[in-house]
Amino acid sequence: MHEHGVGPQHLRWIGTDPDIFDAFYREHVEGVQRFVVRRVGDRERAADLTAEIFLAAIDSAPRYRAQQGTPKAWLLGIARVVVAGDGRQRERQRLGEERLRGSTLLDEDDAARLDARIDAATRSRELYAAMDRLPEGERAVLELVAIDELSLAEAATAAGLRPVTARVRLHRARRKLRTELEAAAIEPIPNKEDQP
Amino acid sequence: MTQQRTPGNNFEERLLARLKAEVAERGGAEEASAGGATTTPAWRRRAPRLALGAVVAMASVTAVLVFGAGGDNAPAAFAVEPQEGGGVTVKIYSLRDAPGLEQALEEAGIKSQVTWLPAGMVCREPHYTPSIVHLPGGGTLGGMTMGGPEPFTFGIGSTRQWRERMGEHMRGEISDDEFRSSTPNLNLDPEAFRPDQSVILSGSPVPYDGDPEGGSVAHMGIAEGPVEPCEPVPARPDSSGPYGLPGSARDGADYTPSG
Repeated sequence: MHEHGVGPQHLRWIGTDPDIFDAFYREHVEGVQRFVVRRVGDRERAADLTAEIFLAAIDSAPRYRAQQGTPKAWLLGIARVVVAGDGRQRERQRLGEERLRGSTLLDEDDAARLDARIDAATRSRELYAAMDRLPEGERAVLELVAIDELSLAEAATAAGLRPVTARVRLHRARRKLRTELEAAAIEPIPNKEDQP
Repeated sequence: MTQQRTPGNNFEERLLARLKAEVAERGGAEEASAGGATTTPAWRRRAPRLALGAVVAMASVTAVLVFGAGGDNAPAAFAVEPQEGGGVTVKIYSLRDAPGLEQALEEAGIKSQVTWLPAGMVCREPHYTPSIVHLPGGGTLGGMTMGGPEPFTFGIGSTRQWRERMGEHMRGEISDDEFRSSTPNLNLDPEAFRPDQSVILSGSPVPYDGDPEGGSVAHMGIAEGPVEPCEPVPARPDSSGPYGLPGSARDGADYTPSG
């Protein structure tokens, strides 16, 4: 699959070349949807956010640098920012300023498919909600590792951190969250990232 | 809320179609602005910053392509072959006959200065004003360093045609080998050039695989306005290009138009 993917050298063209965007979108749309439903349990919000994430990627592509990691890590970094700014997007919708509303493209079959995905991600959303009280810097790494199952290195590039910083923050975040989850009787996060 | 449903059509495909329309509009707008046209969609009001980002990205990236000095089997210094769908492909087999290559490029629609130099030599810089061409469909081309043992090919034809070929490759519709053998390393689109812009190409042999002149390194740049003749000077001993090949006489600061 990766040999035909859009590599870092082509990424800056996704915003202006429909063929290259096509290849990029097909490679990542499923990952982006999974990313979104782990955080948002509302089908229409999920569709809106999926569209918004790709629009933001189109906007950001000319500024992409290889240091920002693989195209996947770069895209998930954008996705985090977009989902975290969900309120701002709703405001744009209210003012009629949005460029494209994903939820208007859903039909009944899509809705059923998306609902199934949303149901499957219930536990991830519980975790996501439990992270609310963590400081943003710690939360970013934990989200990407525990919810999106990125490696620590990938999570570091997606969050724009050095690997060693990411590792420290991950440990802190996990320790704090474990206490919360135990109090809430939710199964703690496994420690697999401790063994790289 | 609910859309007409057609076979094979779902949310993901509909979203893709809308996003591609957005991308095509953006690429078209960039093409139009490069050509001096004036229609600007409302969403592109913040475009100048994005466009500047693209230019900076290109100027700071050095792409590496490969070509070779040819050898005993090379029948000619270069060959010009028609491309499927229009345009030509120029294959450079050896660093000889620079005036012939300039003439061939001119006939294909690209003004150029070609200078082939002895090993270890480069042009004294600056000998032209660096510039950038805005490619139809988006992106920019500012300059490249090329080096290696294999024949170097570049196309002169439409960017769109070249990108379509690349799209087919990325979607797996054509194999790596087919792509490499049929697609030039670099594409120059005459439509992208302003009348005062030209291509500056200089190169020299380098050691490769035990052969002291088994490979080549070349620098391609875009110039605007008058171009001085290339004055050969020894490459700085500490200048090293990609893959350890000799670099240019100029450094990054000389390359930057504002620097």
